[in-house]
Amino acid sequence: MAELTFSHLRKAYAATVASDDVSFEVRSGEVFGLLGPNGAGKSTLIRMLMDIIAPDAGEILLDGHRLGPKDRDRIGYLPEERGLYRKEKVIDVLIYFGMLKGLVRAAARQRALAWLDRVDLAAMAERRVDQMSKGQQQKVQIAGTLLHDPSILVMDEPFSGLDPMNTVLVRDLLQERSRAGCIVVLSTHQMPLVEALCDRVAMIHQGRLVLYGPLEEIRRQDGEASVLVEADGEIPTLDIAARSERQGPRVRIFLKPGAGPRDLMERMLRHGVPLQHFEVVRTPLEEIFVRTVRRLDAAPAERGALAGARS
Amino acid sequence: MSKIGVVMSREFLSTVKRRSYLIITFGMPFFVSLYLGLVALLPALVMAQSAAAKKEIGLVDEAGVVRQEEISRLAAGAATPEVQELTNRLGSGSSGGRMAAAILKGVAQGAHFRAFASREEGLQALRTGVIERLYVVPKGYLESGGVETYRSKDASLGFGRARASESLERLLSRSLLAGRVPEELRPRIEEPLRGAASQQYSVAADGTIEPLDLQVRIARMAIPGVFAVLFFMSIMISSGYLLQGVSEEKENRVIEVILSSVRPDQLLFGKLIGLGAAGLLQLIVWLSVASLATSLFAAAALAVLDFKLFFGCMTFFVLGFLMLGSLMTGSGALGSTARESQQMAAIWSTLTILPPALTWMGVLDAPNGALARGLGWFPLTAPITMMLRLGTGQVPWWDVLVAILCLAAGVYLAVRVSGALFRLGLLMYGKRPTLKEIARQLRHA
Repeated sequence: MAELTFSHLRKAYAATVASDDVSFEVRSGEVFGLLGPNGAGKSTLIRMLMDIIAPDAGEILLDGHRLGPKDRDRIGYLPEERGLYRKEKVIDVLIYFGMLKGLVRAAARQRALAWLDRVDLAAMAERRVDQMSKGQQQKVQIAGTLLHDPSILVMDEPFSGLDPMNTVLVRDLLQERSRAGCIVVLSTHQMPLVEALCDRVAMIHQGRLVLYGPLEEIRRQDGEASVLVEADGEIPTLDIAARSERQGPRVRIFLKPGAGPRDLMERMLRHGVPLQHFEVVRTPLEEIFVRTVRRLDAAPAERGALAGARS
Repeated sequence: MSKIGVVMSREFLSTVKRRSYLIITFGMPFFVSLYLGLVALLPALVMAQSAAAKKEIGLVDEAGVVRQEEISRLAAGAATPEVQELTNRLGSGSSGGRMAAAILKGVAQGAHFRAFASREEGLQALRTGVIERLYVVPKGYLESGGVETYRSKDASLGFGRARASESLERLLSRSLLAGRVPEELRPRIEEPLRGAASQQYSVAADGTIEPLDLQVRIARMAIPGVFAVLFFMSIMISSGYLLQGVSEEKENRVIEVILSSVRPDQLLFGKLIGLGAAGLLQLIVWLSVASLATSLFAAAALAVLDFKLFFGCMTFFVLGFLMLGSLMTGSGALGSTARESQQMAAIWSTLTILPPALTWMGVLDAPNGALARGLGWFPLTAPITMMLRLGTGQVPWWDVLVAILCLAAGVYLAVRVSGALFRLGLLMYGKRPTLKEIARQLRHA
């Protein structure tokens, strides 16, 4: 199993520390989510991985050896700031991207056509890039990233600009690459997609790693236990409830630390509440994300303390 | 294919296929020819017209010194055999050549003097426009050397006047000499030094005397001259394409995808060679179409005779192009707009071209002097200075080698520094890096 290790990476721009002693690992066969608010330092980490910028300290290892220029061709990178040569034909742009990754012209052409077919753009190979829609350009860009069959895939916001159909198409592609043993790093702000795709995640905030580990474990440890209930009549205030939030006809009850849904059910029944609906809520990742950021912004000293050894 | 090769061929092909490139490459010679044609045609027409309307020069010889046979000789033509030969040669060539021959013939045409018996007769002819100028050689001419000139108020003050007075001088000196000195001496008195019959020799330190062929010397200087002009034009044209390409890639954000596949210095080098080739191709088209090819082919023919000189110039051309091109692109990448990039890049071309342009005479006078050596060994000024020095054929081989090594070191440094600046500039969209950031990036390089 291939492993990509980010070890004690540090990068500063003048007074801003974009990466502050960041360490985590990504394994092949998983889709790894790299999360964080805008300006958190995700792009800096990715650019260091791509060797576009050099870290001030620390290193990135691939299977134990330091990632070097010779590994460039093993990486497929879709940057957030993406772009294509607008005045050129789609096929020419893809052939160029393929050749830059070490393919010979004939192979690059053959693969480009195959990938265009895969993303439903086979008929547009000879069309100029600026004659395509934004979503189509996005798919061309994704085809260009996968063209050389990379063993490490780094995708920065791959779903932006895609309609639901194409979002599913790209999601399937990422899962397929992951199953094929590829290391897949996904950076996105679309939390539902992270929940649907990622096995493990790392969250960066102000250059530091603040959450890291399997998604379920993060949810268990950092999520607030809550239950969505609906009853015929008034729901009483219970001692194990921290707070409650009305969501239409239902009420979401957040439990105090240590209390579980079973405790709430018992109390409800004891109070004779005529329950119509009782649903244990899996804390959405977005909620954990927002809460973590807010907490850290309010108490900066806490930063870093959250990042445990949960890998 | 190496990554540099991939970038190089892409840059070359995408540039030469551009509509703007094709229009400029093939349209420019057409428009320049049209323009030059018009510029050359108009004065030729004016000259032809004035030749047709040329009037005689009136002469009243009160001193009795002018001889009639000399007036006839002068009217027959004043052209020297060299001028006559050149006129014939030009006349048998292209249409441009025929035009030049016609102008030359007009210039060399003899002056027509018309003698009048009295001052009154002459003045009357001037008033009625029969002549445009009247010279009176007064009685006391032999003692004083003074003549009187009369001209109509609207007579030209320029070329015609100078030519008329020159013709009068010739007429007087010939008339004064006639019969006083032997006939065979007269040509030498009129023209004591004749270039075509003269010969120069060079004396080497070991005493060897060799004929100094001026034409070969001039031709030898043509090779560095052609190279220097090509160098200057290549830099200007290619750096324009380079900067345009880089700002386009920055603008459409494709640069980050490219930089994830190639190192900045590989990208820089590939672009430099690919666009340099496109620029060179454009130049060759222009030179060929503009029939300047003759001088290029002459230089190429000479190169066969003087391979060392050609090879030396070529070396400085290529190294100089790589150094200057990478410096211009590296610093140009820091600009946030295409205009700013051009300004930043222009600093380097000025530093390269200005010092040799100001000192070229000194360099040619003393090709092994401190100034020539200093400019020749300093990488930025080396390309043009060394081309000039090589043309003199007096620079020792070790001196050339030092200059090549210095320039090669300059290329290495320029590529490293520019690679770092390029990397910094390319990742900064819409803003200019601070001096601190530049210094930091250079330290890393």
